[in-house]
Formats: sequence, structure tokens, C-alpha cells
Amino acid sequence: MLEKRTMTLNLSPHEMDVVERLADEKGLSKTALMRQALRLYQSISIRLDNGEKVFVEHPTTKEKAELMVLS
Amino acid sequence: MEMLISPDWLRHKVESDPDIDTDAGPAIYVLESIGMFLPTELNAIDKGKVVRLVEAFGVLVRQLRRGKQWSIDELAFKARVSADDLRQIERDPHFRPRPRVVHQLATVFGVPERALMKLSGATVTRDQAFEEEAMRFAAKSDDMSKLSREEQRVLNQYVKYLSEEAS
Amino acid sequence: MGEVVGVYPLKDRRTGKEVEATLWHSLEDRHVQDFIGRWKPVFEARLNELSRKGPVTAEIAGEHNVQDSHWQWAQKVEQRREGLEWASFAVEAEGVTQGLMFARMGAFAQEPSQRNKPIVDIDLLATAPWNRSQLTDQPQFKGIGRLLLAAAISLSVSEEFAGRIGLHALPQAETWYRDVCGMTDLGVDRTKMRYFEMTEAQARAFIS
Repeated sequence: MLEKRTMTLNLSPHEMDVVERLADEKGLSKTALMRQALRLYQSISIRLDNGEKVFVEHPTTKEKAELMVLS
Repeated sequence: MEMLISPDWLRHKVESDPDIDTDAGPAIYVLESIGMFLPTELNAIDKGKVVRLVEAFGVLVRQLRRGKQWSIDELAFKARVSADDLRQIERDPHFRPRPRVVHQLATVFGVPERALMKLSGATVTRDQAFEEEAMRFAAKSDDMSKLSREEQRVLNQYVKYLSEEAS
Repeated sequence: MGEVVGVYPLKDRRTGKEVEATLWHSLEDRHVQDFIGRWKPVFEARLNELSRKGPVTAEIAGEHNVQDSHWQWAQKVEQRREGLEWASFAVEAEGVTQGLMFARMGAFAQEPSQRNKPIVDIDLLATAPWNRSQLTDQPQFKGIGRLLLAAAISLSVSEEFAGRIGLHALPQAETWYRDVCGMTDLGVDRTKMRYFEMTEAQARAFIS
């Protein structure tokens, strides 16, 4: 828990742009943002591995569409 | 992680805090199945009501099984539960199945687990609408070897209701 | 697996004295086992007591096989240990687990002033049966709920979420979260529970 490891990320200018924008929007440092992204990625991945599906719901029509990620 | 409060802070606040419950989280309902949250007026729950719900649960399992055209043994095999349990579930409204069995059935039939737990009596519910829907469904479902088209429609409608209940 | 965050004083209502409690970040196996081995038997004893008071309660109490509850609980704990987005806490006093908390770090806030900002969402906050006024005439330790809430806020700050936390309260706990802790009531949602959120300002007020 206390031990930390370091990784160097090579991102395109567009990706870096997105990292900076999202971090700013969410009030997070770039590191905190990447950790959040990893958590969400893993959580979806685990659900898919369990055979569960992930859906998004349209705010007004309540129509559901499958989130096509990671298969 | 740095803790933002000190032992002194807790000491002082606890003195003035009222003596009330602080339980939270949707996961809390998992604990219902082990009797962790007893309704305050336990005595007020209608025993007859529970039996009727469990009866509806038996009807639901039977209809779902017939809808797939499975025998009790086939369902027992696919759900990895004992055929004896299934026979008792379908026939005895006083039989309360274990949570694991309810979970297996929910999985094999693709029905929301929490709704099934309420129906089977594994968890306690006081939801009036839920009870009425269960009664209504059971009343419309007859005991014949093959599901009529009407029965299939009634079954599909009820499963849809349970799915919406769960979300 | 887990590590000790600190030592904090709980009040033992029965003696009026202070008792030292350890706050753990990440559950150890014994915290999970205490739940089945120590908490559940007390609930069961209470169920038995109530069932003796009348046939209706006996019917409701039902037969809860230890293996099944163990399995259900083990399933929940397993999911919550595997994922990076989960954090867990335990409060231990006199060698026994007194309180447990599971929190998710991948959630987004709903309260208008902090909409879609990352938030720590509490999935479970529970205290042992002997500490509950509903289940016993002489509830023992006081302060567990407050301590765990402070831990959730501290976690939120350490993750750069500025102290934002969210939770669904049981009906009997709504007053605590709304009136004592000062959280914003966002109403009953699909879980059929009332959802509360703490803003950065409310969190700061709570821990001061």
C-alpha cells in the first residue's frame, strides 16, 4: 500500500490534451485522473468477464444501448 | 491515506452525538438474508401474507420451468440444486428455500435475484404492490404440463415487472 | 493485507468509560470472519428471542443456514477485494470487529454544485449487533459510525476528491446523515433508499 511504482506514459498530443482537459474538469491531478480511469476500466472488464453486460441509458427516452467496450 | 481527524475530535463529538442508527449502503440488503435488519414491528407482519408470497414463488418457478419445457430433474441439473428442493418449492407454500438455491434459480432463469429473494421469503418485505402483483400472477397461472400462450404472456409480463422492480 | 490507520476512543455506553479502537484500512480475513462468526450469532439469538414471543415471528425468522449467509457475504467481499475501485475499512475494539465499511472510488457526484465530479460512494457502513439500540437494551460502543464517516472523507481527500462522499441511508439512519452530519438529501432513488451527498464545504464542516 505504501510502496509506489513509477510508469512513463507515451501519449499522442491529442491524448495528452484529453488527459489535461479531464483532469482540469474533474479537479484532479493527471495521476489521480489516470488512476480513476484505470479503476473504471477494470470495473467494466470484471463485469464483462463475469458475463454481465454494461448498458447506457438515454436520459429521456430511457432506451438502453449496450456499451461496446473491451470484447 | 491520512486520517483528517484526531482521537480528541472523536472523543468530543461522541459525547454530544444522539444515540441513533448510522447504517448505510445498498449492500446492507445482502445482510437482510441473515436477519441482520429486523423490522421494528416484527409481530405486525402477516404470517399468511408470507405463505402466499412463497406460494407465488413456487408458481413462478414452475411456470419458468414449464416455459423451458424442462422436467424437475432437468432443472435440478441445470441449476445445480437438488430435485427434492425443487419439488418442495413448487408444491409446499410453507417450504422456505435456502438463499443459495434462490440465487441458482435466479441465474438459470435470468430473473433478478433480489426480487426472487423477497418472493421466496428469504428476505422480508412489506411492499404492498409487490405482494399484490405476486398474488395476481399466481392466480392467472394454471397447473398444466405445457404453458398456454396466455400463460406464457402472463409469465413474460410478470418477469418483466420483477426486472423493473429490481432496477 | 490491511494496515492500521490509527487508534481512536469509542465510548462504552455500558460502563461510561472510553475504549481504544483500531481503524483498519483494507479488511483482514478476521474482520470478514467476525461478521459470520460473531455478528450473525447475535442476530440469530435475537431472532430466537423474538420468536419465543409469538408464532408469527417464528415464521418470519425462517431458517437461515450459516453456509448460505457465509457464501453470500463471501461473494460480496470477494468482489470488493478484487477491484481497484473498492476501499474497505474495519473498526476493531477488544479484539472484535465492531464496524465495517466498503466504499467505491469510481463514482460520480449528483448534487448540482458538484455534478459528475469523482466521489467516494459508501456501499456499506454497518456496526456489530451488540452496538445497536434496536437489537439490544444495552448497546455497547458509540462512535463507530462517526469514525467510519470520517475515514470515508479522509479517503476522499487523499484521492483528490476534496472530501466528497455519497451514500444511501437506511430509513432509521436518515436523521443522522441529514441533521447531524449535515449532508444534502437528494431523495429516494432506484435503490429505494434515500441518497445523501456531502459537498466539499460540508465535509470540511464535519471534520472540524
